[in-house]
Amino acid sequence: MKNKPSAGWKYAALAAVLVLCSAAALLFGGTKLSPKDVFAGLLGIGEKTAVVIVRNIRLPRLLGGLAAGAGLSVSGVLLQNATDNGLASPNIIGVNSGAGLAVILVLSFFPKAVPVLPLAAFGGALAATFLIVWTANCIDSTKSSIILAGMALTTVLNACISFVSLLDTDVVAVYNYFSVGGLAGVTAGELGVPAGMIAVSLAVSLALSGKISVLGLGDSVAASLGIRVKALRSVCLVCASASAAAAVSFAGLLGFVGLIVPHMVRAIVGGNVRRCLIAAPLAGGAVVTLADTLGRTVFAPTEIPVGVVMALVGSPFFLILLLRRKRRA
Amino acid sequence: MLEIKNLCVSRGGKPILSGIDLSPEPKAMTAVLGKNGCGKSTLVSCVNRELPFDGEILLNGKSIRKMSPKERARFVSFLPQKLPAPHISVEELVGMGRNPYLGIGKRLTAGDRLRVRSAMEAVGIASLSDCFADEISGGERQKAYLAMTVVQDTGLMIFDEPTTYMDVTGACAFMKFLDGLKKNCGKTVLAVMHDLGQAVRWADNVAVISEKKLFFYGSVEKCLEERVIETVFGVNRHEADGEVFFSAE
Repeated sequence: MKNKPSAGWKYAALAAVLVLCSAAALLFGGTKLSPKDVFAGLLGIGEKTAVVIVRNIRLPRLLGGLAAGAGLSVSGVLLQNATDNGLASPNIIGVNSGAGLAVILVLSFFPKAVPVLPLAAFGGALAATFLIVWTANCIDSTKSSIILAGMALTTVLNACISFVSLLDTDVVAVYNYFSVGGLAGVTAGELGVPAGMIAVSLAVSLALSGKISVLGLGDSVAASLGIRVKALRSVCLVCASASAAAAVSFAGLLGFVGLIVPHMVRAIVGGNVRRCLIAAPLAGGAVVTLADTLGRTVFAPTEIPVGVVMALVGSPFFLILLLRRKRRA
Repeated sequence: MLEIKNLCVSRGGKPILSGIDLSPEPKAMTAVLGKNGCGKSTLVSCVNRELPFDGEILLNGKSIRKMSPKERARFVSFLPQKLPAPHISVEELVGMGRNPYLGIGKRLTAGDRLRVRSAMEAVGIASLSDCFADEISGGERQKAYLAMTVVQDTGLMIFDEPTTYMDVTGACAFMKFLDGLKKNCGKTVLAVMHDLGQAVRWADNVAVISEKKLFFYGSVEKCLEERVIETVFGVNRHEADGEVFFSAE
């Protein structure tokens, strides 16, 4: 029942887990490499094959996992606080579906434009974001209206995706890979802009974290404490969507992270939004990196996409968290 | 301090309140009474700027339409009927009362923390400071929210049915605390109440809303003398040991 005021040691523990998961991601894979090979490969001074594997494949993939985990987790924390709904995640408000529709349209109309898919995903996610913010503002920007408008938008976008995939069956295979979510083929060069967007979203959210916490007391109390409820909720929505869109642009529709990690960090550091926003990138990065490492190694040489591993391992873990919370209540 | 002038509120074209003029006496407790659905909560929600309205609401002579939310929050605090149970510590919850005084990215100062500690001690929840707000009892949580409004340090404090979920002892202690705030700190208290006996016991003045209008505003004594409550609610009045009670039959 007691809440420890200092969360420093918890951040340190999460950071340590993140470092361990990152080390595992660099160490393990289809090709066996010793810690020494990996270290030398990182510095670019070892055997050429090891250097190529570590610097061109494992390291970009690790960075991609960290960025995707951070982006989706921050998005989930923001959405769940802004809507006061533990089920809110980037999937619910249409960000993922927006990205998905853009990708399938590009695949259908420009089959050779595979390299621009991340850009299309990003554009689709952002377009969905503006649509949802606009719709929510047209209604009344309450917690429930955002969720309901998001669900309606998601349904429409998913229907469009199904429609396009029925008309053009050639795109289904490529789209399926994108929709499951994975980090195979991620390059360091394509991570710069998304990582920057995630960092900016996180910085803005941290600056506003005190106000976002007050939003959690309900619209009436928040208004009486001087919060511009509608405006702050819209800012949360934009930051959450931008963060998720950035992640989706290179990692595909990794939806489960944005749902589960906010619950994990709340169980670890409590419901304080600032603490959750600090802990979420650490926990999210660790979870995605670990899931990706498992996916690459458990059934090697066959690779299981990180989205599938997340769903398989994450779902039971999520249920345990919920059961523990129910028992505590 | 608070002046409500010709307040009219409607929802979906249906009038809820019409032509309300009310200026609660400063540094006194005013109970807002009325039957269910008469618009009591709507009235106080307008002061909290949650609903659109026609007419004028002035705080210290300035229209609340011309005030920023932060500026308004330094004049008036408001506790609604339903209070959520967030997964944050009681101390953090109480500390949120300082939000109107904090800029973006700013955190509580040492002085703010001292205020939080004092408020928790005054309300009697200092021992719960590290407990999560969603793991304490409803009455304790109500006290935590009360401490939050104390920390907000406003001249006008508005409560919408503050003792609804409390037992008799808890409700009495809560009202006693509000009475102390009025007497010792010079606070103006405006409380929507359902318990008529509690209202005449603790309030200095009564505002009765009926048929969308302000039916009566005046001292408790005058209200009892003119049998306003009996007329509006159709209840009988009883007196015992100097206390006033009301019964439906």
